[in-house]
Amino acid sequence: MALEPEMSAALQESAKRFGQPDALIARIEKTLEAFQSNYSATDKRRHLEEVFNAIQVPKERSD
Amino acid sequence: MNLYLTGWECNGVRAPDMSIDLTESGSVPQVSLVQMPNGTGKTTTKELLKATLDGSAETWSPDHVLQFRQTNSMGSAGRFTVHLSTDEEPVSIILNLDFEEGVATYQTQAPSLGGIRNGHQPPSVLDRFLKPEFVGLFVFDGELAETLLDSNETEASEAIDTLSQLYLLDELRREAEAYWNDLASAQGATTEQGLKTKQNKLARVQQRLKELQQKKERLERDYDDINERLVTLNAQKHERIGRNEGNRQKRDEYNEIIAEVDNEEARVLYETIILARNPNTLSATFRERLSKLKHHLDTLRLPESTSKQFFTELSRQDTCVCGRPLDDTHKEAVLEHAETYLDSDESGVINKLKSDIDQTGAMISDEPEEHSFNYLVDYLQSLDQRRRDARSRLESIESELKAQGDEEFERIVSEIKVAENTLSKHKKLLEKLSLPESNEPENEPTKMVSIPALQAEETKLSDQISEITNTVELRKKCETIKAIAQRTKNRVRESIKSKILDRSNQRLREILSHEPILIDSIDSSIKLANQTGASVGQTLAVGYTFLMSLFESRQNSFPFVVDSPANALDIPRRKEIARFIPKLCHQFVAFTISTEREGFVDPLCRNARSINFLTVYRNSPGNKHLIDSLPEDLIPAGNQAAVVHGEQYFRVFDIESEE
Repeated sequence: MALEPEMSAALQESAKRFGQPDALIARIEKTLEAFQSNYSATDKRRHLEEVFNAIQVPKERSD
Repeated sequence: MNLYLTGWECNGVRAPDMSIDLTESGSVPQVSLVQMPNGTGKTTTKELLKATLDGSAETWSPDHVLQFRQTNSMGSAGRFTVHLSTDEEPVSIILNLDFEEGVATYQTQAPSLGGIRNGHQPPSVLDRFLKPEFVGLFVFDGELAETLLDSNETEASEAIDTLSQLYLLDELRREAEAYWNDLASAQGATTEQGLKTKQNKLARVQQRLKELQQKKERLERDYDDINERLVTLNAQKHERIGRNEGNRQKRDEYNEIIAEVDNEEARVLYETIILARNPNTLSATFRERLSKLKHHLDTLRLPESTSKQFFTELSRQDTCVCGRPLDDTHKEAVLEHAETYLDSDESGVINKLKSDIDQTGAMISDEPEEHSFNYLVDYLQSLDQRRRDARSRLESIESELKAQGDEEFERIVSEIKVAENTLSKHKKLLEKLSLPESNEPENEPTKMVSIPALQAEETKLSDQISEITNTVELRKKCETIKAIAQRTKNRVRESIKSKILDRSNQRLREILSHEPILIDSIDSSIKLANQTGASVGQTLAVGYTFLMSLFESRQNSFPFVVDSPANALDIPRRKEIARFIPKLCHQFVAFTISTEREGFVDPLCRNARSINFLTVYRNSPGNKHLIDSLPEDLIPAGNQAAVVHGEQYFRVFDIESEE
């Protein structure tokens, strides 16, 4: 089941705003679809793990 | 996901028994008009329809359950069944009312559930929607329309959130937090503050480690230098002693004695330590008491679990273990007396103890005197005395030389003493610096004295920092995901609100063209433009347009079920609403009365893709003329309602209210 078009558009805009790559947007969409389809807790967790892996954290200056 | 209401059945409840099938030739018409005169049980049907869908009846009080019992009936149970259809499968939910116990229970039936299951357990695709807060949106009543406009309520906003699937973003935030919590709790410290504290401590550990390592290097260097100097000084000292032949001979003799004593002492010490492990050798008292202990222990027995079989097998042999022949009498005696020698498993330990006492006692009794413990201890003391004597004599030679005024010798001896003291201090300091990790008395790095302890602390802190850094990074990731989800939710909500606002106002301009009323904003509730209140008709019109605009173009579609949709509206508004309804929902089910037909049914017929008409009324004496005119297969029995399909019957039916 696909996400509502407004949701996809807003997700893209928000992720870009936080400097995140396209790969993350795709991962979040997959995760939301998994939630939408009431996947098992294990599958949901697997999708979430991929979201955490795809997200980029800006490195802080060490000084 | 498209959800359709395909029918319902009720038996034994306050509404007449009925079986309503909304399908026609296997498909669901876009509009179903169910004409029920007032008093036929419309409100009961709508309430039970809602409760069956939303699963709320399980919390009903017994009095609430009894409200649905048939009037003047002592029936013990009632049942209301709702038939649904999704894109994938048919689903039926059954609400069972036990009027004797005052309890409501559910059953759910669907192929994906494997048949009938007890409880309100819709298939997963429906589960999140079949809840009171959501069913109330599509099984509509006038109260909801008022609530949508009530500034103290949040129904309008919640409706948008639910139908726009914004709950998915809330779930993403919750799950991200839970995921992080699981990872962080497995890793210990979690905060940036925790990271900073560990990093500061590591810096102090590394600084202290550097200082102590430099100190150790310096001490070791000094130690070697002093040791070297000591060798030179001792050589000088010996050279000066050796200048006098008599002193030289004495010195060599005493040094030889000291060397001999050292060697002998090492050998005897080893032998003494071995003997010290046997209590019999340490003291005659020990020996005597161990012997008494042995005699006080039970007479010899065998552990039964491991020895019983031995006697059994022995009784089957022709020869005893001692070599003598065994006849039947002997064999019987073996079995008979075996019990005397068998005991619990602990007897094995006792036997071993007795055996050890015997052995160690035997060892000591055969030992010659010069190998006894006490003898060796005395011997060690005599060796020590001998060495002290030799050293004392050496010192006497040195004293004599000093007394003779040998200043150089005195300087050498004095320097040796200082060097030895310094070496001793250095040695202690070096030992302290090399203390094992477990002997380090301090926790604060700047006060720690053991290099191994500091090195272990450095490793431990580095590992922890590595973990915390990872955790802190995970936290940042979690916060980013949550922030993206929240921003997305806000933007979707604003975007949808804006669209709904535009659509709703566009429709309101057409529906209420004579007395325009517009929506100003949609926050938690709907706020009207330029007015605080609205008439019943206006409120309904706003509620319809809002919900229909909301349902329009969403991924999930639901049947829109309305009780008396046109009753509170005047004719022009009915026409407008009826014109829009087919455009706004994929299934519209309305409970109507005959007086609502005017201005409502014709526009619906013109605009709906398909429409079916049902007329439902009680099998009561007042309706006998109607019942009698029905075809035989439609004539209801007992408490059954008459259910007549067809447009013509619907249009001419003129009972507004049951008598």
